Amino acid sequence: MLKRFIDRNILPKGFLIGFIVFTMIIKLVGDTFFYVALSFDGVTFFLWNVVVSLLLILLATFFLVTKFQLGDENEKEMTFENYFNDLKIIILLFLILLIATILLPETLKERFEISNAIALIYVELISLFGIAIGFYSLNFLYKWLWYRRHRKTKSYLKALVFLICLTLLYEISDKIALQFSETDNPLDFMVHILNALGFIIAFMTARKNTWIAYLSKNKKWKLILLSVILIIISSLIYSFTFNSLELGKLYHGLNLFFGAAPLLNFTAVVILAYFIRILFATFLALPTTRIVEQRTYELSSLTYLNRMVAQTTDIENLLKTVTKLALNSSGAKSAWTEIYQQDGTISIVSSENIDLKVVNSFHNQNDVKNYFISLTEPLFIETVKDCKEKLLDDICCVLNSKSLIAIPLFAGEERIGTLVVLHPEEFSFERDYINVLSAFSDNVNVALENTRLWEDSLSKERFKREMMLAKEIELKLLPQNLPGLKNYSISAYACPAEEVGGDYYDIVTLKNGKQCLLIGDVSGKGMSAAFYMALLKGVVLAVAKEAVSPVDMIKKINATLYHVMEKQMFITLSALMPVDEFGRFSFARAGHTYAMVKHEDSISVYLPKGIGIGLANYSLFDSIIEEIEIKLNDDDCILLYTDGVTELKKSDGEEFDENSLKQILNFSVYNNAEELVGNIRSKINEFFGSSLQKDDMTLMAVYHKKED
Amino acid sequence: MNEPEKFKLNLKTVEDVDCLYLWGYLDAHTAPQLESAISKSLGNGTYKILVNFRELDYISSAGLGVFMAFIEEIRDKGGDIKLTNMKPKVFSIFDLLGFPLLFDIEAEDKSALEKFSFNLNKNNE
Repeated sequence: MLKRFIDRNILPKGFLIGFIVFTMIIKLVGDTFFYVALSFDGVTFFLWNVVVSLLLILLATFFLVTKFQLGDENEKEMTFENYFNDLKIIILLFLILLIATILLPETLKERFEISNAIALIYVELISLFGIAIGFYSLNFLYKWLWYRRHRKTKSYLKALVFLICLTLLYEISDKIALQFSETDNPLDFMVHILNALGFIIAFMTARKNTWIAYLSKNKKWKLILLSVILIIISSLIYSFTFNSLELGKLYHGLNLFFGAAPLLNFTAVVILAYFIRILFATFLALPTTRIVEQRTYELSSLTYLNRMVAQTTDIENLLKTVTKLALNSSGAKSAWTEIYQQDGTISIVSSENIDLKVVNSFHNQNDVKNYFISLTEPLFIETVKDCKEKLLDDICCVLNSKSLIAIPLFAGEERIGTLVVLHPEEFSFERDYINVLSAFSDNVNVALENTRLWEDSLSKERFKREMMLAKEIELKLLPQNLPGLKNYSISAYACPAEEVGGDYYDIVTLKNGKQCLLIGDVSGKGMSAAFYMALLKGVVLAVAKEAVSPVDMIKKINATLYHVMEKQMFITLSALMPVDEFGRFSFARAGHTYAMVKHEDSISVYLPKGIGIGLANYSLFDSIIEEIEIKLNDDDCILLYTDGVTELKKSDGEEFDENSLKQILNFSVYNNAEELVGNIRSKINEFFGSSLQKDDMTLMAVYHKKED
Repeated sequence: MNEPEKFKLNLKTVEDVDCLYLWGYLDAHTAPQLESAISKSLGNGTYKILVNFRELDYISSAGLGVFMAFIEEIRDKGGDIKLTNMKPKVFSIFDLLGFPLLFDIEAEDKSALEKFSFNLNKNNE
């Protein structure tokens, strides 16, 4: 409920502080009035004191609680510098308080005996100052305990606030009791119990002190000194509650503000508990300072390397960094990294504190050269004296070193280099440096793999682009639209199995002015077939104007191509020429699929003799190939195709073969060539998705329709 | 690659003829196996090769190309490649292209082997 109140910002923080200050000023004015007009002994004064003190306590608690709900402090403020500064301020404030208390005028040594106005103001100010220190210190503790909090911190801090309230309320009730009866309060010890509880809870809250381990040696000693000072100061202040000391009396004289004394006491107790814990923790953390510093450096090096690996493809830069980091984190005095090139040479990409000439001279001796390359595991030499390899002894001698670590560097499985660190003294490396150095080398491995993958990916992208370009160009080799011939409707469709293919169709003008349709299939598919297809097109364009008939055309093509084609390559081709407008065609075939023809309501196939192009030279080829005539009547149709069309198969076993084509040619409904091709395509589409297209597919249809 | 094998071939030497028995699918992936088998025979100095298609279900242009690649060299050395025992579907692929006019395609091994010795005798005469 309180939280909701605050969240709705009914009482903003500034306003709260203003209100507190205002109340204090009222108290000051009021007290002056009492001093001047009435005495401090009356009930009126007492009531006045109670009311104002309660009000202040309420407001202050409110203020403290808002701090809770506001949650985490700004992260940037929580540095060690600020911590130490806060500590110094607290110490300073306490010292001022102590000195101010000691300098109290003699006249105030009795309770409520204030001889003049200046003394009154002095006392009020000291009380206010004491309260301010109390809150400031409590705020400090809250801030830093909350920053390093654990599971129970919230409950403990709430408990501390509760205890403070209890202490203050007890104080007020005690004063009330004292006012109306002269006997001592039997529950006097309550205060000490509450303070003891405060001590215990504060001690338990200050549990998470691992941050101390990360401080440098100097900072740790500084912390110890400040803790000791605060322990002394807070003990002193707490001792004021025991009236045995002269100073204690003075302290209780400061009772114009109810609550000032108990608050300060409680604060002292809590500060004492906190800093006792800190002191112990710091002492315990002193011996391991060096190792923690080292581990921290190693970790941050690895983090730095990781980030570098993700961002850079500059391997040389990476290796330079690795060498430097390796040098620093292992405490070595010199280091170098060598890389093994493809051609067998060794190059030093980076070195620290080492004479390159010396290292290079090693590499000119074969056995040294091979020694490091042959390493597959990290090499750890604590002292060359124990080393069995005379080689290493020589190396270390020349390089003035007595201990050495060598880490092999890999790119995937390939050995690409070695990192070597050296020290002039023996036993100067910890055995577990090898783990750190191996972690560095793993990073290098990842970086190299990344570079490789990235380059692969780039070339794949480039390849894809090239293929798409090739596809576009190849499409342009095929006729963009087939011209309409009188009384004939012609349509064609081509679909390569990959981006590019070896299927071909065309329409060319022969020597006699007649048009000739061609359909062909280069053996194979993909890029190599596409090249031959382009070659075929070129030859076709060249010989067409000299050819007088389909068979002549094909013979000329074979004569030209046979000698330039590879032995295992061949091309199948069919050529169809309309002789007139009345349905007469000349047809020749070189190894290609037969021509399917629909006559009336039946299908015939035409298979004139002819072997594939590229299989035999002109003498055999020309002697075999023959030309025949095909006669179409009105509404008849010729269908030419490549074997990719009839090799389709679904996963359920259904096949699309020659019979399927015949079915569509004979029975499907169509009025022109486009519609027939469309019918075949829709049937074929059923076979896509469930089976991979194995070969390039092409269709060409010629439909005879007498135009009126 | 743990795909089930789709092509196998066995070699049996009958007199001076290397007989290759094909099984399965002969396409662009499996053609290299046939290529190396023929190369091996040539390497051994055997130029008489019989290829039996009884167990072959399918042949692509890549497979056909293998024969074309070697035939000139083999015939120049006085040998030959003879093809036997084709399934009808496989034979029709060869037929369409005109292979029967370029190669001896026999129904059985026997007649092919006889043709090999006939040629030998002819050369000896």
